Amino acid sequence: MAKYPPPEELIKINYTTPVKSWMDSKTAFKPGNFSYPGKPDILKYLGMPNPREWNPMDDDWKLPPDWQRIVMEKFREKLKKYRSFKIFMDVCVRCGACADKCHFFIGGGDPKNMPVLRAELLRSIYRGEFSAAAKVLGKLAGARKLEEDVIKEWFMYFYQCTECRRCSLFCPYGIDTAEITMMARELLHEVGCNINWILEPAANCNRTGNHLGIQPHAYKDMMDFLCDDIEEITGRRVRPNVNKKGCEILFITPSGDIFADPGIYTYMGYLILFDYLGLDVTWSTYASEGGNFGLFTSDKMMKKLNAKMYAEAKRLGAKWILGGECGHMWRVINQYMLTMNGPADFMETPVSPVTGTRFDAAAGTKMLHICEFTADLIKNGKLKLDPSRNDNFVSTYHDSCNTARGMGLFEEPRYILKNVCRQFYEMPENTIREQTFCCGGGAGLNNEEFTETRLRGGLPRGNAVKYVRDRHGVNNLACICAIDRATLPPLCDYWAPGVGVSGVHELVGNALILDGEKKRTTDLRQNPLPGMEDEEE
Amino acid sequence: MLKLADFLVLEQKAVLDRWFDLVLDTYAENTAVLWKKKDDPFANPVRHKFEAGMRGIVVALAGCGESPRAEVFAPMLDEIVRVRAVQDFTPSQATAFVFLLKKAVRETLWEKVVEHDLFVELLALESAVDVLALFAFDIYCQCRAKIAELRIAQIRKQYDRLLKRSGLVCDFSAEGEEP
Repeated sequence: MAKYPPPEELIKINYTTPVKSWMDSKTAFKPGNFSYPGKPDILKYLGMPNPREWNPMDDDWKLPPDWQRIVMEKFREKLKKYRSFKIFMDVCVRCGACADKCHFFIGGGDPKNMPVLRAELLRSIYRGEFSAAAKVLGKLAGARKLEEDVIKEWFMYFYQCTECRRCSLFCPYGIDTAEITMMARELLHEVGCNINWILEPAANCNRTGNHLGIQPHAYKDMMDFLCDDIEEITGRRVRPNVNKKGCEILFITPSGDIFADPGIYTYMGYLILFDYLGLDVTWSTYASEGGNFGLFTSDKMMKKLNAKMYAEAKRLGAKWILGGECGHMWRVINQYMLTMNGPADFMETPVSPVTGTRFDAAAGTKMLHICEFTADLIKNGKLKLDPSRNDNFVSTYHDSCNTARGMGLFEEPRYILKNVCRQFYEMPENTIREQTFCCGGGAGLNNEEFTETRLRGGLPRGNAVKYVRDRHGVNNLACICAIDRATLPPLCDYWAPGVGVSGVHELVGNALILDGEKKRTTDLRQNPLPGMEDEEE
Repeated sequence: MLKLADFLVLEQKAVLDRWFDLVLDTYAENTAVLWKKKDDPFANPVRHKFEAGMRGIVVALAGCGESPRAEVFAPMLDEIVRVRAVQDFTPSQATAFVFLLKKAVRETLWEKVVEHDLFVELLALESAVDVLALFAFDIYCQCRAKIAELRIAQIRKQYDRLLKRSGLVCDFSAEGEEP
């Protein structure tokens, strides 16, 4: 009989993973943990360096021969240009306050997703190449040389940061990891390492005005299609203005909402609301994109893509701009637009033509968030609402990182929701408002090839959604961001099945009682309204 | 006379703690430290889900007899497997946590097993754990299939409506019955 070791010995199996210093562990690319690289045609069109076919899983990334010199030169340039970047490189004391605040770390446990370590990927080079003492001390001082593996690591982890800025909220020095990520991505551009999901929309936007590359006639056609649906549901034909000169207001919203489910229902909500108010507003097929993938590319690209907002307002002669539900669009508007492309002194401070409210907070940019606009309408009793039409929805609200941490918009969407829905429950306090958890798809990471990693990063959000689903029967996650509307449905499907996703203005569209409307039997998704399940069309 | 199942209940905390530590050892050292420290269920959902799943499993295992039932164990295993299925593990790494329960039980209850001559019961318990591993494998596969399904759905959502609207493919939604 074969001899087996006694159980005492058998149990001495070592299951632990080998502990390696983070600098010594190589980055492993495999399907699901990276986004596909930028296509050469797109890079050429955008005039970006080193266009080529390459695959992150290959050993050879086909970097330019003098890539080290290029990166160091640009690194130096950025340190000089951005005082904030220099401070962020110097000031971190590694207190660890940020360490467990990133959703990718919380969900996945990869230490390089701790914001402190993510920044250290850059800092180690900063020390190794720019600090004399650290150069000598090397690893002891947390310094290292710029090798090709470092570029690979940057590509992996700076495209695993959604620039959501949750970590910055907890940093005693206010180090903004989003800005560090932006710098790293700009350095990577210099040697041609970037992702197509960001660059193609940026190129499209440059060409047609929107990320999807929808041309004007197609945009109008899709709009008409949604107007047909609205007529079928409400009996009212809405006739939106497109590219009309002389309107008081220009309305700009993300293009993702014009054709993608469930964004289209939010888009229909806007159309219905404007028609209800008889608002003097026009849509634009040129400024047909609120989002700005330039924000995830470079400051130059961001500025260029953003410029169309003011250019179009000027061309059409609008007095002010109303902006739809979008996340990063509002970060750009609230934090950068005025200094990049302002002042917009050809326009006026937004004043609601319905209530007379003057929105002084938007006096600088002349651009008002639709939730502020609608909340003001409700507060002043200007909307006839039947919240019971949303009784099939038990809602909670997901703060988009950008509108929450980027502009402090917390109350308005909630106020609207509580007026158009009768069932609303908040998720736990440390998962909403300033502390909101990212959907995992921010900063251009909402592509399908990244689904697995995005679900990993979506765990903290999904966990909070599951909690309110189990506790209060929540079945609808309302949000005010087009990327959320694309990424949250699969996130919910994986972590909290049974919870759907809607925009806030979709629910407004459901609840609004229109003059001369027909008996409403369905909501905007053409699902039966509560109690109307047996009604024939 | 006390049985192994009784010890499992009595020494539950020790078994669970050991099992939890062993599972956390499959993560990077820094990660394990942070995840062990923070106990807010929303700030640290991995620990929360793992603990909830593990507690349920150990309690249910003590009372399940010789053949664990999937209906009972699947929801608890799901709490853990669903997380590990998206954590960059190989399939075996993702599901190996189940076998670590054997190690935890042996390490924690070995003296009792020897003292009360519970070897036969220990073998039975370990067989039950093997069955749990098979359940975990099923759940893992379901999770991975779900991820693939979500990817396909995303591609469809992106292009379906565009193709129809551009007239490149036919759209039946606007048409009635075939004449």
